[in-house]
Amino acid sequence: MKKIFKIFACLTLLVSLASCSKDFLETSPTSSYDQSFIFTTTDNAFAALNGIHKSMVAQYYSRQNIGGYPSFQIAMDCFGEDLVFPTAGNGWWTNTGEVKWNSQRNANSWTSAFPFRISYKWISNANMIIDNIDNAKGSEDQKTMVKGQALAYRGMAYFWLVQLYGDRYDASSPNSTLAVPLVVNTVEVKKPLETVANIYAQIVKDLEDAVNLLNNPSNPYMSFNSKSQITAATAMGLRARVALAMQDWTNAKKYSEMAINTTSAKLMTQTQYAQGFNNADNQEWMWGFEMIPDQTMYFYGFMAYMSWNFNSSNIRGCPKCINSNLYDAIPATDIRKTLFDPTGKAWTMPTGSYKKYKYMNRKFAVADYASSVADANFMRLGEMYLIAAEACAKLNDAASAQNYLYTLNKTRDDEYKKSTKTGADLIEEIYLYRRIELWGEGFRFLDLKRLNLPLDRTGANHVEAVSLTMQVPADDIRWKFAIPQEEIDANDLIDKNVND
Amino acid sequence: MRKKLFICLVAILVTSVTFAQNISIKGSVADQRGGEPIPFASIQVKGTMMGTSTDANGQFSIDAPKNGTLIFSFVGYKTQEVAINGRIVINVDLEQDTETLDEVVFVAFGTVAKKDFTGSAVALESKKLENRPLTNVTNALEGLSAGVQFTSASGQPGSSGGIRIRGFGSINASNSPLYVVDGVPYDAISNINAEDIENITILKDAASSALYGSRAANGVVLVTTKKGRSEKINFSVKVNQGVSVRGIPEYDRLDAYQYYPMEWEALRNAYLSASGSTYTKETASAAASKNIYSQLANNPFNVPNDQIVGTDGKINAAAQLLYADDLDWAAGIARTGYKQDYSMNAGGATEKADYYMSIGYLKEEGYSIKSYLERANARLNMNIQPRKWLKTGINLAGTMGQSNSTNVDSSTGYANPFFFSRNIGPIYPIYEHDASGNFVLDENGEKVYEWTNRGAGASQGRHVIAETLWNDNLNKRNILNTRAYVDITFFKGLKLSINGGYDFRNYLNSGYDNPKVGDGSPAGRARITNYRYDTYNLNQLLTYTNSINNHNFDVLLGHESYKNDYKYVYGMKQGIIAEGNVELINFTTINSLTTYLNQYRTEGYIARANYNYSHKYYLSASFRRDATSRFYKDARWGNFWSLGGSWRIDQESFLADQAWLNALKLRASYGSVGNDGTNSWYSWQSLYGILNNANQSGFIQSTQAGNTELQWEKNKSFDVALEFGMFNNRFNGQIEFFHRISDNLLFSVPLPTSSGVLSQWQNIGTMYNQGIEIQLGGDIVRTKALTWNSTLNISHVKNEITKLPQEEIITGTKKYMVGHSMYDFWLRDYAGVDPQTGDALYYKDIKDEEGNVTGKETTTDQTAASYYYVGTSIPTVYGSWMNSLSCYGFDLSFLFTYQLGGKVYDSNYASLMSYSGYGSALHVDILNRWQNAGDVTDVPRVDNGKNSSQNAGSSRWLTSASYLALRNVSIAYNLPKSLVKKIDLAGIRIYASGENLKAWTARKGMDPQYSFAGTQSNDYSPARIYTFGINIQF
Repeated sequence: MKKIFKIFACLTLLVSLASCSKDFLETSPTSSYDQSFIFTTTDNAFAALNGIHKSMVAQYYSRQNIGGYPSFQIAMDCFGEDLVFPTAGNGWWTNTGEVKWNSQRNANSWTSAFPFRISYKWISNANMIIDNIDNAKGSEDQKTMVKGQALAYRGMAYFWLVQLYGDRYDASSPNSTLAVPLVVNTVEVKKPLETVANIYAQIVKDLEDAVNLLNNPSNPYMSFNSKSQITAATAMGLRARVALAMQDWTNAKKYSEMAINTTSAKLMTQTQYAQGFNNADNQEWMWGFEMIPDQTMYFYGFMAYMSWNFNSSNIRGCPKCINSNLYDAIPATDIRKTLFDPTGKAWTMPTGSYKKYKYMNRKFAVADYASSVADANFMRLGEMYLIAAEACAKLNDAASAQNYLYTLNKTRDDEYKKSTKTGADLIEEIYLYRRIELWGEGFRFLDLKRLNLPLDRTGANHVEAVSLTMQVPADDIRWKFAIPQEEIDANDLIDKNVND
Repeated sequence: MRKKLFICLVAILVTSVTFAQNISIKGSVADQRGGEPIPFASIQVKGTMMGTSTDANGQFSIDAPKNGTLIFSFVGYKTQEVAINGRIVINVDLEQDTETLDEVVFVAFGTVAKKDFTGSAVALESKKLENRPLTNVTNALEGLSAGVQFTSASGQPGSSGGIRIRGFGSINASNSPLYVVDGVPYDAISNINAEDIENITILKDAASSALYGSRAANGVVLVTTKKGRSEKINFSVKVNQGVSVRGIPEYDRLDAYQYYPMEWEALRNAYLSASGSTYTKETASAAASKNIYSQLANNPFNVPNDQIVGTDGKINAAAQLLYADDLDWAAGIARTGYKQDYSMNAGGATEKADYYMSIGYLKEEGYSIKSYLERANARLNMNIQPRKWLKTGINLAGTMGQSNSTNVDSSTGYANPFFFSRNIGPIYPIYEHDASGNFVLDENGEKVYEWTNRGAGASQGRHVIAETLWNDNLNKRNILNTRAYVDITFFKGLKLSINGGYDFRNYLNSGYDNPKVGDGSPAGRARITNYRYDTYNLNQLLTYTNSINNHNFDVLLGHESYKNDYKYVYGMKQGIIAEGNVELINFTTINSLTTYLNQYRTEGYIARANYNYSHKYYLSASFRRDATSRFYKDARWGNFWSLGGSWRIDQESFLADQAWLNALKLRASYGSVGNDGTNSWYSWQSLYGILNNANQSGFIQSTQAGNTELQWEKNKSFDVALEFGMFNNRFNGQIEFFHRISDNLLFSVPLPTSSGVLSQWQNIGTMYNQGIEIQLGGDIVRTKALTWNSTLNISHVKNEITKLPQEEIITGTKKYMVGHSMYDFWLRDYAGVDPQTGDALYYKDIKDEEGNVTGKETTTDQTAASYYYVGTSIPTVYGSWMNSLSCYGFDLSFLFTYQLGGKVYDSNYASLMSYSGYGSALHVDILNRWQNAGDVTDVPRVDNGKNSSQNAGSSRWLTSASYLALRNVSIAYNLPKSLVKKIDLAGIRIYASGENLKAWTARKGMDPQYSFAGTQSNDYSPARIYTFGINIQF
């Protein structure tokens, strides 16, 4: 009996001491995938591209005002003079430093950090696609489409970086000052700062490669059902923007005209212009993001700061206004003038707790004031006409410039008469309409910088206690953002004193 | 009835052993301390079989030879022999035997006699918990042991503080000890009813904890629950009632009369300092007087908006507050919380079985409005031994809990009551008022909350009181904790144990944000988060114990596996349909709906051998091989081992005649343990997260890069100690030295942002902790009427990084660098205020052309300032002073904890000294600001436009972390047994206790124990709790 018991016990022991099954320790997440899986097929690689699209409007670092690309756009107008904060509101964009112009040189500020981090996130994701797409299984046409878009993203992201963190590009100089690290593959990811000239060279190459890859109407993968996808025309538009910043008027003309001729977008009607800029179905949008309710943007979306009617503390307390001088310059018959209220009394707000200020806007609106969900606009056709007009005027082709400006303005203002100006006067008129047409869409700071103009907020409705910085000379160091301290700390190829 | 039976028994005993010349002796047996009678103590006539025991009141009677000797004994007391000498009344006081009382030490996979223990451990017995009703039992550990450092528990009912045993083992991986309940790791210690706990032991050294290998790198806290012990059924009922109030007062801030002029000055100076400003002092002052109201957006005074502050910067002399009683937000979010706690337990044992069961119910309201914890516990522990070779048992514990948590998720969140009430300016009312200052009432006659008229720095559009009351953050938890084992003894000495544990923890969080104000506005939203952990732990242990002559040894071999599954479900909808119903079905639009599963596994093989010669010389050795699913398959196995020895010098013959020396032991150990505690379940993998483009599937690169070479962080500790007891153990103590090296540090290395990935887990670097721990204790007074036992703990720890893969790593307010500790502050160095301009000055290195530092200068440009090492958060010395007094049935205990040295970066104070937005509260220290050329002060000019340079993060915000705190006082009284007996009870104890009673710190409002890193946050600050209770034993 005792013997049987012992045998039984030993068996138990053996069984129980035996190690666990071989895959006991192999665990994998269910909410994410291993990197190697992503580039097995072109369909998966396309999903990786879709991830970049979505990351254009995702929230970052749990920061309430960092919602991807739209935050870049808001910041660019905060730094300008055409957007006016009548009060500090609940502090976003004012106390965070953008409106006040006191945070972009602080290497530890979010103002300095967020465009850097987000741009390199786009670049890194694009690099993964560019490096791995050729080995994925799937159709060549799909590869071309995915790679073309990835290149466009990389070009776009470096364009932001070089404009914010580099010195102004000056076509008449070698542009040899240092801007940002140039990372163009997934192997060498720690790089020193590169010159402005070399960054621009990479941007031009990426965007031209993108145009070549995407500009193939017979590619069945190039027909999209979402405006989040970068089309050939969008890539051309990006290339045209870059040419403008480089004072390369020939290419600015070339690519803006190519975009106008390639895109299926049409200039919107006056009715559509007044519909709130919240719907990608708008016929003029070339590139944007279509939001769905279950990807809500809470308080980090564009409309949470720029709309007139979303029911947030920021909007209720601080409606965004237009510079009174700019408002006065808009012709009375122009639809664009109706989007602002110079009296601050005219409109009925969704509820009584909204504050009203003179020159407040309703260019931007949410469809339902209870939700910040709205489509995001990254590029529209009107801008292409403005680029073409500016480029033609600079190339002394006044007739073409007048025509482009006329085509655009006529749709906004039935009474608009084709300009008869030439030379500097014509260019001034084009710039005025550029400010009017693109108000609040994220262009002003970079326009001032590329045109080497000073900031001047005086003589209008700016509140000194809020705006704080009323004038900045064109050559001021503050036009260049500080390289974030976190990059300097982690990248020993960068001089510790780079921001000095 | 019982008494009669007992008397019969005694009578039979007495008659059966009656001899000639016997006399009848009566008497009593009592405890030498306090004189409490000892029931059931044994009395034996020396050299005979004759004996009896005391009754429930400690009385006895016995017949014994006139010249005989009686032997009195009782468990836990020293046996005493008393010569009769013809006396017929003998009263005896027995002395507690401190050595036998804590004679066993709970160690990994069993217990060991204290004298045979070779490691470093400190235990807390249930007795110490009796008079100190704590919702979370880990809070009782503070001050218990030298070498163990604590952060304060938040005021949220049921929360626990952080614990660090012997310094800081890891920089980025976990630093928390492993909790083991009844032999199995357990992560939810706060759910255990303190009433059920028999013993908590902190294992400090590697030799003690090595058997827990993989997860024991930061020490182990062993919790053992009660079991039935005596044949008599012990049944007791406990009732506690208490109140909870704020433990640390609020910072001192400006009142409304001081505040308005200060904001005026900040505006006036901003006009003057703006770039391109055309203002003169006069025009700026006039503009400030005119405009300060529009920046602050509220006028609580009875004077016109443009006359609140004059152009001289002084408050209008006629200004009176219209609603002075409606401006205190800190009072608005606070209340006196009520605490109630009831429990019942019963235990008993027979020869072949024992049982313990309990139920408990607790409801504790926090002092912050709406926060509470409600908890019900039940436990059943049972062991049976059906055959001599077979023993088995089960422990089952269930917890149901419900709580509403104060929203302190973000230190600067608008919905955070502590952030909001601390930082809102003193000019904003809680309720709306009309022009004459009267409350505005709604149609129901109720006051109306006000959130519109606020400055930009005053949480405009938000109202923390309304939001807290109208929102929900309700947590429900259901926890089942099971332990089962089988012990099979094959033959004497060889035993197989199979221990299994299954824990199930289910948490359901229901959040609701109202549509009127706050994050839920205007649509209203609700979310539901359900997460559950299923953890399984199984070990198989084979032990062999034997003694051959004076050689005593035991050997253990085993295997252990652990599995933890985490399932997460989250859903959120917005658009409330009808108010009052917060279920998701009552909302229109889905904003988020997701689930996922995470899994974690470990496996290990165990071996241990203990040997001693004649209970004099001891050796123990262990080995463990562990694997974790967090690392790649080629790198996941790690080997850990330990070696320990001790020498009981007091057992040597050369000390035999030194009667004053009761114990003297020298011990030392060395061992290694592992740490895989990264914050990621899949640390080695390069992952792509899911990020869909509207309805199209999308992937996005994770911000963490994978690393297939990632392996165990190793902790190697050396430990040597001398323990002693003398003068009848009246004085005892131990002095320990440890040196603990953390190698292959698991480090979340920041990558260049330009790589697109923010960090990667790597095994980099080495760090050590080295320290001295001194524990001195003894009975300061030891008389019959009064004993006062006191223990002083003194600890010192030094932390230093000795190897890093890159020269320096900067993170937050710290910089890691060889030669520095992980908690050394790296900040700008504040150089005071320029007396001419009032600008803040910071030090800046002067460099020559090669970049060598040649000197220091000051700068007003904070972006140009240099960074320096400016102190550490690690104290020089910390510890505790524990006291217990007993006298005439009263037990009094009090506990002080202290810390000397170390610094706190007081960011709460920094924000109260800053003025980035008009309307945020200001600390009274700002009254010392610079005002005119020539002023000498350390507070710069107030200037709303220059806040980032005037108040940049710097050494200015470092404050001494030294403190002395009266952590606990409790007093208890045992009603005399004679009295209790009359109502047929076994005992009644009444007691009162107070937690967090007083702290002496460098700044009012600051909590120097908030974090190990010396940071502050707007968190639910600790509570002070007063409790009164009664414990009835049947």
